[in-house]
Amino acid sequence: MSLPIHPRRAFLQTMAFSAAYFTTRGLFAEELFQTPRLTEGPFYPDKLPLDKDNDLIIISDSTTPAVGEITHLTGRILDAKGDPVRDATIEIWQCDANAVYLHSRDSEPKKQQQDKHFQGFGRFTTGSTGEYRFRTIKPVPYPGRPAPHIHVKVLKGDRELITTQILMRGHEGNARDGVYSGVRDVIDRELILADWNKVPESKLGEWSASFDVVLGRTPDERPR
Amino acid sequence: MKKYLVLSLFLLSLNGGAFAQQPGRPPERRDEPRNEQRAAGDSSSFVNRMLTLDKNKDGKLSKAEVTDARLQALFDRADADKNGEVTKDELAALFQKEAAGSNPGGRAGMPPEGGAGGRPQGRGPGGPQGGPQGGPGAGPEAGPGNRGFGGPPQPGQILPPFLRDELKLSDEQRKQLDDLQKQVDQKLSEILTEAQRRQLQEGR
Ligand SMILES: [Fe+2]
Repeated sequence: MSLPIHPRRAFLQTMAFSAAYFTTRGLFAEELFQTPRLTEGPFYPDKLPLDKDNDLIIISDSTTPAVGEITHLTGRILDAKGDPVRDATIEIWQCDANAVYLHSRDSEPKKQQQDKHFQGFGRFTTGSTGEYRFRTIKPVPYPGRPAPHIHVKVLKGDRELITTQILMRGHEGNARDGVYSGVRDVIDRELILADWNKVPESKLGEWSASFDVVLGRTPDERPR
Repeated sequence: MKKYLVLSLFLLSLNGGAFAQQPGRPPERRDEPRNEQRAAGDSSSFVNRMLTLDKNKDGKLSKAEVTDARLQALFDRADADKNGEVTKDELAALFQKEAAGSNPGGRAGMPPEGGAGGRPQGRGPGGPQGGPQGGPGAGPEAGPGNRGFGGPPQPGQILPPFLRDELKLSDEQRKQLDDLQKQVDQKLSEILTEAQRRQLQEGR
């Protein structure tokens, strides 16, 4: 709706809406806490890999898996009311087991170190349940980032909804990590952590981690 | 008259929060999570935010009210007497314990209120945190693009700005710290190779 709005009318609507807050607070109180945004960092891939699927352990039909401990990362993309968001694209990226990102500024000086079999970046588009699923490695610390983490970006079409990071609950590196420490709110800190749990009876020592992303209100949902 | 003034100020502030930034946000959460400058020392805003989950309005939280799985761990840490209920006092106590430092998930580590141990884990410059490179724990990632309280410590930075603020350093102390920082920078650049220095610079 891009109708021109009469300024005075817009003002009145604004006032009316403010007043409505007082009567509908109960409704809002049911909302979920929004996932905090965190810095994108410098290493969103400068050149996306050819294989962008949700299995970061195997590139295309390579027979050599990535180095590292396999993690099944799952979760849901939810709106503020807790409803699943469909057709949302979630992207993740993280450094490989040798602490090299899929970004030329990082990988070029570290060519020897890089795990060429790690996809480094993956993408998944949600269905009606809002669920997503990745197979990746358990994140490791990176120089200057003692907190192992997975970067996350959620988009709808071209529109970016949130950029954040998943950190590991209970990791000793969190306390001296600048990004973690930069989150001053006790609740918000909780909302960027995921538990890494051993997959029972996995011979490969696989892990599972679950992380729901709760979006704020998007511009589309703006009340008029 | 006064009442009206207060009310209209409240409305104004509501509008500021709700429309200028994040339309449709409830008043309680006008303070955006991204605004890390939000009063870290304000226990009541934490307690109030948690109590938005108090459906039956009895002033405390039961396990059943905290349906958000993401908050289970927080609930368990807050429930000091393990009776399945979290009172305002328990919430406030948890906040005291966790808010000031960069203490993750109630683990042992930093003292709650900065103090001498206020810098991250009492590590030295940049922290020999044994990254895969084993270098001075620094990398481009530690650098720019981070928000809030001056963001994470820069490579080689002795005390990041937010800790300086938190520790309420005197002018004299700040000056001494600046001098010390200069020495550290100098020494650090002597240790590093040319290539490493460049890599560091990029992070700053
Ligand atoms: Fe990162």
